[in-house]
Amino acid sequence: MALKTSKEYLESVKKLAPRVYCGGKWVKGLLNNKITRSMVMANAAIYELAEDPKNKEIMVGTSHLTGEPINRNLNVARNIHDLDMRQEMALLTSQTVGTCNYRCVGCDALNSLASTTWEMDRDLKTKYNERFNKWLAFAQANDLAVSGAITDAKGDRKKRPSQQDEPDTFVHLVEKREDGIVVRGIKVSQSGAIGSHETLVLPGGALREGEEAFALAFAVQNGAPGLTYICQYNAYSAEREFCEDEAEIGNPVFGQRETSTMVFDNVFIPWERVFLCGETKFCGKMVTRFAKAHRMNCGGACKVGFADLIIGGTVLAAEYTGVDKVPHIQEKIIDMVRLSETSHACAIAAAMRGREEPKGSGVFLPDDLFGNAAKLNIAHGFWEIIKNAGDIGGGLVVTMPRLKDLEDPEVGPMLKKAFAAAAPADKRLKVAKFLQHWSAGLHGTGTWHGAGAPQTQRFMISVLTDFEAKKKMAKKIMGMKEE
Amino acid sequence: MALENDPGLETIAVKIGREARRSYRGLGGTFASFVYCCLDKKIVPGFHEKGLIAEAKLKEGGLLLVLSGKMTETELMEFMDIALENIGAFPGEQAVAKYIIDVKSKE
Repeated sequence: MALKTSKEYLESVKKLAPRVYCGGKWVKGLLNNKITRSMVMANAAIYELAEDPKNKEIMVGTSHLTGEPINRNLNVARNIHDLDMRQEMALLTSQTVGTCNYRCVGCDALNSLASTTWEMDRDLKTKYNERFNKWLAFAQANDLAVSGAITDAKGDRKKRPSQQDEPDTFVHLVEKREDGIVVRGIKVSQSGAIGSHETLVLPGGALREGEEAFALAFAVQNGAPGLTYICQYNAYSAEREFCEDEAEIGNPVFGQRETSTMVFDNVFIPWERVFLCGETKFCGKMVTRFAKAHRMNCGGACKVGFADLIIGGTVLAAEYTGVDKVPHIQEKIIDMVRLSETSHACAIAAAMRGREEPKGSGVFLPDDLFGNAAKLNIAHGFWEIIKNAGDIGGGLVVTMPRLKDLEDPEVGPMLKKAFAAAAPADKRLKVAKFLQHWSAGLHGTGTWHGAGAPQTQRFMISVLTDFEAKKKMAKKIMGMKEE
Repeated sequence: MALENDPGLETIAVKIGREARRSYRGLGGTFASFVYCCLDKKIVPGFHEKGLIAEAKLKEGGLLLVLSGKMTETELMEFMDIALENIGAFPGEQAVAKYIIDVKSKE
């Protein structure tokens, strides 16, 4: 089986029994809990996308290891077209589920691993790339849902990992055994790890000599004993958990976005799943290459798919209110499109200017400058987009009653009278609820921090930009002599 | 490509009573993971509560796993199916098993 169907994925999830804590309870069955189920249903929809023949070019790739068709979420980009289809997959997925592309981080992590383990084997004569390829072929053959865990809890930011009072704030090595390693520590903000068959764990950042214990990359099975997932819990979680009817929620089936804190309490990882252990010199490269891929996809495509949904909802809100022909409303909607498509253009440029890295590895990574520009642009642009959605959607977006209240025999008629405009009240409230999901939800801050907070993109852009060359050009035009 | 000769997989057979009932294929190291869980953590993958294992010990070519409580052979098989899938091994074609897990219930 190289391509799993959505139904097969759901069947496989029924057997998964990760140790998951959510909102004060231990979860018995991911599909039995309303919150965890929304995450699983989003992943199922991502599998379903690959089943549709019209999405084949975007969603299905060819394994460079076996020549078999595989889900693109498990593909290593081998050329420019692969990179372009990768970002298109992020766009299509977001447009379809309106929440996190839960297989996305794993995909970008495995591309970084393919590139960096190849380089390690070349330079250090290790066997990491051979090992990684075996893991990847296994994941592809079983079409596993793979998430990625990068961000450590980090503790006191003034201190290095080895200086922390609590060593578990960074995932680290506890024991090296003949058959594998034992690890412990904490990774935070892990999207979709609960409903993934495996998680790829990478170092959280560049490391120095003396920090070998924190230099780890490995694949861990969802149900590995010692691994606990503590789910995020917020107003939207409570709304889903306690609502009478999930159809009332802004994104009824797929939810906001579900992340968890992953706690590793002496988890055994066999050597066959270890892809870096102690080689601090390569941690920076591994993380940078992950970020390079992820900023193109998360910044320039995933959030653009979200923006498409927000723009659609905003246009509907304008029509239903009767303001769709008002010039300043139209101008604001065009601004939303401009912001969104500028980021997408950066993602396409990042793919088109992608290149093999390192030379000889056969692995293609996107252009760093365009990828960082995509992410930085959308980090700021997304706030503007949701601001305009709230502006055009009106105060109703945050002041609306429950949709269910329209059916109440006493207050229903009052509400229908109050909220009917160019469309009936039920349509207006449904769209207002959808815009509430975006403009008063978790996605603003999520977009800001996902794939790294904007300061990391500013730093990368400052490193990648040749300011001296630009100064020289300006001086030449002005007729200024070089000193 | 090295994978053609060595895909890096291992087959684990589950033996209940006198015969091997089902084979599972996982990445190399899957059996080692299972053994670590049972011997060091005293937990069966997919079942987080302690006390389920009455006895676990390595024996030639595999593991003897005795579960506490009374379970039928069908229940034992269902239990092992969940345990192995949670550690990343999936039902596979009958192949020569590198490892055998001999499962019994205490009663």
